[in-house]
Amino acid sequence: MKKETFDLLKNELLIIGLIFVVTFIAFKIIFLTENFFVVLRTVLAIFWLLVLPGYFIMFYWKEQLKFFERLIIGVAVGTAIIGLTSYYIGLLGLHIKYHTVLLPIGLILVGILSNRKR
Amino acid sequence: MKLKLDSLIEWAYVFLVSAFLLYIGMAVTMNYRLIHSFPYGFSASDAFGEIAYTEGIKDLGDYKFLPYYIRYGFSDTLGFHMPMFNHIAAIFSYVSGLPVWDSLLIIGFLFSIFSLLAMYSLIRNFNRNIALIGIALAVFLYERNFSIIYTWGQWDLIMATFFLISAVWVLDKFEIKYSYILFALLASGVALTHISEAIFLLIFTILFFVLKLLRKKLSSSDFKKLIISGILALIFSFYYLLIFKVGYGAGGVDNSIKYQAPERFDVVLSQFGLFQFLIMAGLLVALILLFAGIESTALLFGSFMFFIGYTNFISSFAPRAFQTRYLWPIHLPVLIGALIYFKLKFIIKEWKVVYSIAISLILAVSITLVYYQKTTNSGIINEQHWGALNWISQNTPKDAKLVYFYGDPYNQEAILWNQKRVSYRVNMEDFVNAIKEGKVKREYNVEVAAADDAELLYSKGAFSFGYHYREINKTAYFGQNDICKFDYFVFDKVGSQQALIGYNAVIANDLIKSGIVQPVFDNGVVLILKNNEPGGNCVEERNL
Repeated sequence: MKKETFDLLKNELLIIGLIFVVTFIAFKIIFLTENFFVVLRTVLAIFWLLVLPGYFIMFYWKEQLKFFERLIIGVAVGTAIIGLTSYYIGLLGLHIKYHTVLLPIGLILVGILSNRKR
Repeated sequence: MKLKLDSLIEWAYVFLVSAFLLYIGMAVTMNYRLIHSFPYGFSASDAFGEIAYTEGIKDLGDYKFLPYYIRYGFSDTLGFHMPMFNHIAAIFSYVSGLPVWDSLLIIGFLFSIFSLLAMYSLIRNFNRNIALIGIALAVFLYERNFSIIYTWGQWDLIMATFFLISAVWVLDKFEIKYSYILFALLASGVALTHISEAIFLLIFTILFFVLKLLRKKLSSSDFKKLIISGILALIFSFYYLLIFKVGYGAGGVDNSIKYQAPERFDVVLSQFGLFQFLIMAGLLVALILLFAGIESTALLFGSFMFFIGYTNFISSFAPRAFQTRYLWPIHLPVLIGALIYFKLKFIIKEWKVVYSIAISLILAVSITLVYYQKTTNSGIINEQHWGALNWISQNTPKDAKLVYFYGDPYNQEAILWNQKRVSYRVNMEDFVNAIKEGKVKREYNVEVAAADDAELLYSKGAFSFGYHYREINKTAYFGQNDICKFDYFVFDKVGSQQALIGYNAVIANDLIKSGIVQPVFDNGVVLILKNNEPGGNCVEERNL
C-alpha cells in the first residue's frame, strides 16, 4: 500500500474512531438508564457489523468519492454483502454464529487487499 | 484530510438531527432501554413473526428451512420470506448480546436513520442547502401513523428502502469505476429484503436511463454497465428469487385497476399537517425543474416515490403503495427543501450553509412542537405471557402439541410461534357460542397457529417443488377437533373479557377433575395444564 493511501486510511480511521466515541456518548445519554456495558457492546456491534466492513470495501473509491459518502453508502454496501454472503454460506452449511466474525473480517481484508497496490 | 468549517458544521448538524431522531424514535419506543426481558413495544402479529423467523435462523444456523413449529410440524418447508433483514438481525443479536426482539427494533430504527442519511447524500449531490433544509421533514417518521412500522414489524421495508436509496445514489454516480458491481449488490440487497422495493428500483432505473437517452446523454458504457449489473444482480439473487417465484409468487399477480382506500392506520398526505401544502408545492417545483431540463436524480426520485405512494388503484400495488407512504418523511425532504431554498434564494443572493441549518432547525423544532406526541406503549404482550411462552419452549417435548383457549394477545397469531411448539387456537366464535349454549364441550373448533404462506413449499429435488398444504388433510389442522388429543392446554386467567375468562376457568377445572390432566405452570396470568393421557377421557361434556 502506498504511503499516501496508508496515511489517508489512518486519518479516516481516526475520524471513525472519533465518530464511534461521539456515537457511544450519544447512546449513553439517550439510553441514560441502560447499563454502561450494554450500551458499549451495542455501539461496538453497530460499528463492527454495519460500519467498518462497508467502509473498508468503499475505500477502493477514495479518489472518486468523499469520506462521508463512502461511510454512509458503505453501510448499505457492507450490509448487502454480509446479508447475501451469510444467506448463501448458511445454505452451504456454515452455522450463522460463525458469520459474526468471519464476514466482517473477510470484508475488511478484501478492502485492504483491493488497495494493496494503490 | 482537511475538513472545511462549513463541512464540519454541516455534518455536526446532520449528526445532531440523527441523534435527535434516535431519541424521539428508538429511545421513546424502547422506554430508554436497549435490553428487555420480553418484546417491549411490539404491537402486531408481523412483529412477533419476525422474532420467530430470526430465532429460527439462530437455532437452525441458516435459512434453508423454516422451523417445524411455525409450519404445521413440517421440518422441510423452505425459507420463503425474504431473508436479508432476519440474517442481519440474527448476526447483530449474536454480536451485541441483545435478545432477538431488541435487535430487530434497534436494526429497524437504525436503518431508518441510515435511509435518511443516504437520502441526504443523494440530495446533497444536487444541492447541499436543499438537503439540509429538507432533512427536518424526517421528524414525521415518529409521528402517528408513520411510526407504526416500527412497532408493527415492518422493518424489512425500512432496510429495503435504505438499499433502494443507496442504489439510486449509485445511479447518480454511475460514472465511477465498477459502479455496476455496487449497483448489483444493492439491487440484490433490495430483492432479498423486500421485493416491492426491488420492483420500484427496476421501474426507477428504467425511467432514469430513458430520460438519459432522451437527453442524448446515455453512453454505450452506461448501457454496458447496466446490463452487467442486471446480470450480476440476478446471479446474486437467483436462489431466493426462484423460491419467491414458486412460493409467494405462485398465486400470480393481480394488475387489475381497482382503487383501495386507506385504512385508519395508513398514512394520508394530510397527516403532514400544514407541511402537506409545502410538499405539494415542492412537487410542482420539482416537476417544473425536471421538465426544464435540470438533471437531478434526487428531484426525480423524490417525485417518483411520491407517485408510488398513490398507486393504490392497482390491486397488487395497493398494500405496497401504503407501505411506501410510511417512509415519505425520508423520500420527500427534497421537495420541501427545493421549494424553500429556491424561493428564498430570490431574496437572499449570498446564501450560506448556516442559513440552511437555521431554517432546518426551525422546521424540525416546529414539527416536533406541533405534531410530535410522545407515546410509550409496552406492546400487546407482557412479561407474564412471554414468561409462559418461554416456559413452554424450555419444559415441553419438541413434538408437544398445545391448544390455546381465550387470551387477549392470542388474536395476534404469530405471538404463539415463539413458544417453539406446534400450537392451535380455539376459534373464538365457537368459544363464545359454547358459552351461549351453556356447555363444556369435548370438541372445539381449532386452527393451527402457523405461517402457511407459500402453501408450505418444500423441495422435491433440483428445480422441483411441492406444497404440503395441498397434500394434507386440513381437518386435522382446522375445524372441530377433540381437545383431548392435545398434550397441553393454555388458559389466560386475566383478560379484558370477563365472561371468556370465567369460561376458561370452568374448562380448566373440568380438565383437572378428569384426573389425567394436571397444572404444570401458573404465574397468575397464564395457566398451563398437561394432559398425561393424550387421546384419553380428559373432559366430560356437560351443561353449565
